[in-house]
Amino acid sequence: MSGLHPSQYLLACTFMMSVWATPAFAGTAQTSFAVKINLLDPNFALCRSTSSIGIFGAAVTVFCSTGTFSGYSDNDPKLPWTAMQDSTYRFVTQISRSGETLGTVDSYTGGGTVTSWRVIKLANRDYLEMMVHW
Amino acid sequence: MKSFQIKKLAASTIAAATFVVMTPAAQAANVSSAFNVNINLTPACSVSTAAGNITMTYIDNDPAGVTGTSTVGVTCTSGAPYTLSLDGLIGLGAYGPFADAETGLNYTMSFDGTGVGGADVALVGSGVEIVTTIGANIAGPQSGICNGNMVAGVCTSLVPEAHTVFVNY
Repeated sequence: MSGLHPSQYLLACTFMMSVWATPAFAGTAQTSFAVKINLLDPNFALCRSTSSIGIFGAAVTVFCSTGTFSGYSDNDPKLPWTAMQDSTYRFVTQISRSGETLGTVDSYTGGGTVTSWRVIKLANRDYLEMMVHW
Repeated sequence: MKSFQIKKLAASTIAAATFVVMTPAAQAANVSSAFNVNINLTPACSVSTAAGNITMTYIDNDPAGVTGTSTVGVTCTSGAPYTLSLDGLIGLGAYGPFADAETGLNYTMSFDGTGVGGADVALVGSGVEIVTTIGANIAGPQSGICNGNMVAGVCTSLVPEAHTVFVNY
């Protein structure tokens, strides 16, 4: 060995390291399985118009002071919320494509339980119709 | 005649004496030879409980992601070391990422149940089944597509991704 050329030493070392590094498995067993992914559409059954009434998921914060409405933040002018005070506090919004308030809603509001609702789509506006029981 | 009888008696006496002398002589001559019994045990492993399928339901663009798990049971010879590995390349500490052709979502897998942990796992057989948890993880947020069957807002994968657990011993 003393007469080996340095390159032969390197070759021998490389061979020994490759043998040492190679795992000596006696056998192999295996089993198969599958991964299945279902993709949910979070916007399913929700119709929205990004050009008229703001973006989906927008938040409006209502500020109250000693039990009385004091103001809003991030109140989209195209989806305005207004506060009314009766025996309870109610917040009413207008669903209008152009953002204008349609008619007077105060005279039609009252306490009750909503039993059904639907969105009516007209030529110039959409509105929400609710069946209320009291 | 008498002479014959004497000779016969003498012969019987000699024979009996010889028998008496020969018996202790055979016991003293016992010899023994020791030998060894060598048993070579070849370790073996088998998949005693096949890996179950993993189903994950992911809400599109959900930043929270989702994790699914399954288990595989392996029985190996007591004391025999073995490793579990999966198909695919090892990325950042886990196998994958794999791309689901049906939804376009990427996911990773590992043997720690999280889907993002360690890759290969080294174990030692105990002679009884050892159950290992396989984890798969969809990191969020991801935007998927639907190449499967979309019904009522749920895109169901029609062709699940096939994977293999390897047991090397």
